[in-house]
Amino acid sequence: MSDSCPTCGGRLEGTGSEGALCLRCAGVRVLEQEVSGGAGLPAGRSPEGRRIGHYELLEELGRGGMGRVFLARQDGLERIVALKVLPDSAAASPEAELRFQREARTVARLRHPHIVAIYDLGRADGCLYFSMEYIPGGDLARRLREQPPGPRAAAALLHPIAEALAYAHREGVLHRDLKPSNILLDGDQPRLADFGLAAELDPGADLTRTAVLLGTPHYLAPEALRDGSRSLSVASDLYAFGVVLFELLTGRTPYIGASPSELLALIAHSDPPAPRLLAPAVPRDLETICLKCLEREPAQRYAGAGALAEDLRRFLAGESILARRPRPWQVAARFARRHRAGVTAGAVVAAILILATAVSTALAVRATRAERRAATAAKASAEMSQFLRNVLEQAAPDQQPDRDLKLRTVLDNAARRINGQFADQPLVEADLRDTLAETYGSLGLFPEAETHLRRALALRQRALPPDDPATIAVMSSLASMLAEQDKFTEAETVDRAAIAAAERTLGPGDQVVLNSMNDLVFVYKGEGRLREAEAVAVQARDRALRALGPDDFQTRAAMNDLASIYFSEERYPESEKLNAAVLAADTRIDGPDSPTTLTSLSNLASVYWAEDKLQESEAVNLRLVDTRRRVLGPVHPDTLRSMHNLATTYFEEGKFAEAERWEKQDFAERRRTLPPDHRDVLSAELALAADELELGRAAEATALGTQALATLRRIAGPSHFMTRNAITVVARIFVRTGRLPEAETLERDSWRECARDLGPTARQTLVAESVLGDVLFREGRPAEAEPLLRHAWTARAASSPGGWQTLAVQSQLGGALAALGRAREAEALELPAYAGLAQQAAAIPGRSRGVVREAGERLIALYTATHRPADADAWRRRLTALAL
Amino acid sequence: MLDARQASVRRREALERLCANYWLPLYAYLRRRGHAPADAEDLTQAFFGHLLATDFLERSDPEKGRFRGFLVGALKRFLGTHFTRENAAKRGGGAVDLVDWAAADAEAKFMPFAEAPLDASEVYERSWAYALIGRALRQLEAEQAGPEKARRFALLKAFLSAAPDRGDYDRAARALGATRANISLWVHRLSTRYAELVKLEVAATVRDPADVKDEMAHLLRVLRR
Repeated sequence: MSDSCPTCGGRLEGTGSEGALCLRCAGVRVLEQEVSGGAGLPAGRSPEGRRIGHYELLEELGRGGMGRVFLARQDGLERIVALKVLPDSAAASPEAELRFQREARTVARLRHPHIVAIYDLGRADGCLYFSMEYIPGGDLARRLREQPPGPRAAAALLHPIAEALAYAHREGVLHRDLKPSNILLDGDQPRLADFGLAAELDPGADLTRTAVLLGTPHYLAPEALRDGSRSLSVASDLYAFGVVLFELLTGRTPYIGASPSELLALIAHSDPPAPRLLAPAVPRDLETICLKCLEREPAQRYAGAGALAEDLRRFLAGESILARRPRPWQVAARFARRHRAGVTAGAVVAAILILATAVSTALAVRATRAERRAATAAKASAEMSQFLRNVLEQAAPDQQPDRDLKLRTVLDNAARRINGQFADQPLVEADLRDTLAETYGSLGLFPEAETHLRRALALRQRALPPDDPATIAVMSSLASMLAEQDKFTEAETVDRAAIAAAERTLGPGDQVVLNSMNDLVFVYKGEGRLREAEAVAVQARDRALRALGPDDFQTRAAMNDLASIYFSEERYPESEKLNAAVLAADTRIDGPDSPTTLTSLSNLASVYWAEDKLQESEAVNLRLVDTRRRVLGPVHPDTLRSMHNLATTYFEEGKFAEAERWEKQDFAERRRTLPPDHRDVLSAELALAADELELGRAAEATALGTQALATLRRIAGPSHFMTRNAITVVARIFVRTGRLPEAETLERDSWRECARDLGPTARQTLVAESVLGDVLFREGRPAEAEPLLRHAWTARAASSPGGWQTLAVQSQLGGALAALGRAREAEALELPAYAGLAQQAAAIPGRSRGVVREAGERLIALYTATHRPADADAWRRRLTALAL
Repeated sequence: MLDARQASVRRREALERLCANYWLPLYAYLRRRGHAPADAEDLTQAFFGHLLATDFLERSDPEKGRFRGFLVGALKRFLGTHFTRENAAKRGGGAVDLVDWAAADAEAKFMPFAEAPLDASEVYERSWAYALIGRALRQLEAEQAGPEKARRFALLKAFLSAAPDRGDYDRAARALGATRANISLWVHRLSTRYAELVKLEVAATVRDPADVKDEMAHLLRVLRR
């Protein structure tokens, strides 16, 4: 083991397994740090009078992975230059060297006041080198360390660099390695140096690895991480520019990772925090410019460095900039992306930043609505951002590296801190609680959200005049939070009050009114009051179309609500049409991964399912599960909903094992995260019961099904469609397990209740009626079965004459007639029923495909009973063939 | 006002600190001037005795503005005007041992400077710089109280002199059962504190705080040579 310093050859202090320290190097390092403030040149060691070509090396200025830079004197010209000498290994092949030389000549042609000129390049003494203008003022990296500029000065400093970049891009040269140490300072004038020539030497090099080795992964654009050096473009230069600007504004890089791999993951998968929270003095427009450069999608950045330079110029001249801030849904989408169960501290910081943005936006809106409160709002905004910063500090990675910090924890801390801190500023407290509630709500923590909304409402009602928009807004939020928790009665009351107040003060077409109407639709729907829901939904859509036009978010939401009501009313074609229109608009306006688009997609999947378009439904649901797991995380309610829908589709397709696998996961997660009588828990439980039955596990199926049914009867009432679905499942379990009397009681009660609540020909009533008829028939009571089956068949035939369900009931009626000895009538019904069913067999859902065989078996029974053995045999053969 | 006894005790303590802190550069200077190890020890000892006997420590002296220069100047005067080898032995022999030469291992500490092609003044400068940054390092180490911090320091001090290689921090993190971010933070804190301590040491050797930076620049040049 060596005991001399690898750097200076000096003796090391400390040996063995311990870290050994070179006292000299330690001293040099620490003194350099302290001294470098005034010195003109960075530290370097004597190049011992070496020469390269016609250059005499004077001093080493710096070194990096791509070679060393020397201060050198050019013979003859007596010119002092900076000489970059590339490592011997750099030019591995003659082709690489040629490429390098070609690129260097292109760069050498660049002539711009803010680009460091290249004088000369060549190869001598085994080294590839090029010489360039020597700029004595140090680089931006050091300036950043010593004396960070203010925001305006930062913009002024970088504006010429943006112009230089634009010029270089026009000349066809990418920089490829933009970072503070490549921006040299000539007095106050910045000069762009070191166009990424060295990259030419090894275009196959692993860009990420190189950057990590050089300690500069911060400046790598996300697409470069993803696709390597081939993806480098004008846009990736702009990204690096954004990182430099970010650093100048905030004193740190956008992402801070505990390790290179974490850092790279952050760059690739998360959005940078808003500079203004790290440095509140940063003007909003400058922040917008910075974030525009840092967009993860290259296409979302500036179209070119020229546009960037123009915006910087506009900013400096006090004109309005051209870049736009992200639209609310984009923020929401990013927000959602972060709201996973366990996020790292960095993501927590980012979430808090968005929180702060949301708050200040809300305040700005309010200020325009009530000019007289503008001043107060500004003050409140300052206090709030201070508060959020305090909350933030505990999550800041460099303060307390707690990598397991959950967003939930940060929120809880924030909630605790609010208490008593804003006693004399009720409106500030209300805004904060509002924001917290929103965040809790988007995490699915509804009770917490509700608590804060109630407090916010009380605070505003006390402090503001009646019908103030801020009060109405929080009422509306409270109503939807109540509805989320199935507290429909109170939700309706609050919603009605909010709508009335908003209509009085804001007019019938105002967003707030429409919002509350949408909530009310949801409430009615949740209560099963579909007609009232439809009436409100139609009204809301018409108002939105008139007031906001077809593309507005609110209009699309209203259309979506109406489509979902049509769905519940089983008006599928109307629902599908409306859904498809909303989906097309969402995809066009918000993009394919946006939450709105995914919701529309999910709705469309449900319609497909209801229409028995199972292949479409399966494909859409698979895509949804996939996307939502990625975007929202595995236990988000929407992800679970998609899993449930996928399972249901598999079930309908007869893929029971697949169905059970997905439903089991779904049920487990829902039971863990929701109250036990939540409808989502119950529908998962029921679906799982059906899966278990089909997989031959009757005991499990019975336990799950009866439990879910009991809860649903209690909370949703007997004729609610979910209760009816539960009855169908449980009755089927009873029939399959030979418990016919129990099935009969169940169905008879349901039939009466549905007829009473929904009318005698409602689909649910007819289902109850025909299942009851079937059970009675199985019990050997065809005389009682016959009128029920006939009524169900006639009613169905009126609305859907050739439908497979009509035909199934038709065959059942035939069976009852046969048992009553009315063979001729029976045959007249059963033969065409079988033919129709066999023809449509492929379109019949998997769970129900048995109806074809049952229809055939009825014919065999009929012919056997009427002593026509040849016909009976013929039908037996047909059924055997069918089974094969 | 202090009584004479107290003043004497204080002076004595101050001198002991002085000896502990500065014997090495003086010794190294003397060795490079050609004095044999034993003679250099005696002379250093005698020089300190001389300082004790005079009002050197109390006297306000414009030359003391830079203690480094002042001390070696005083040594040179002491050697030139007052001394021969003979009476060095005599004078030194009667004085109390201000330096524990047995423990000091003076030759071993001088050895690195002996190898370098430097003259006596340069050796003095360099060993002065080493002594100073070494003191700051020992102080830093002393501040890491408790077995956990001490172990942390033992493993991380190497990063005070050299930037980590790839994987170094990860290895340190595993060894200390900490996260890599912790390591980074600790190293940062150690470096920052070390810089403060060096600065304090330097500040103690100049009268005008404005001179601290110049003195540090000088030390840097000396170390780089």
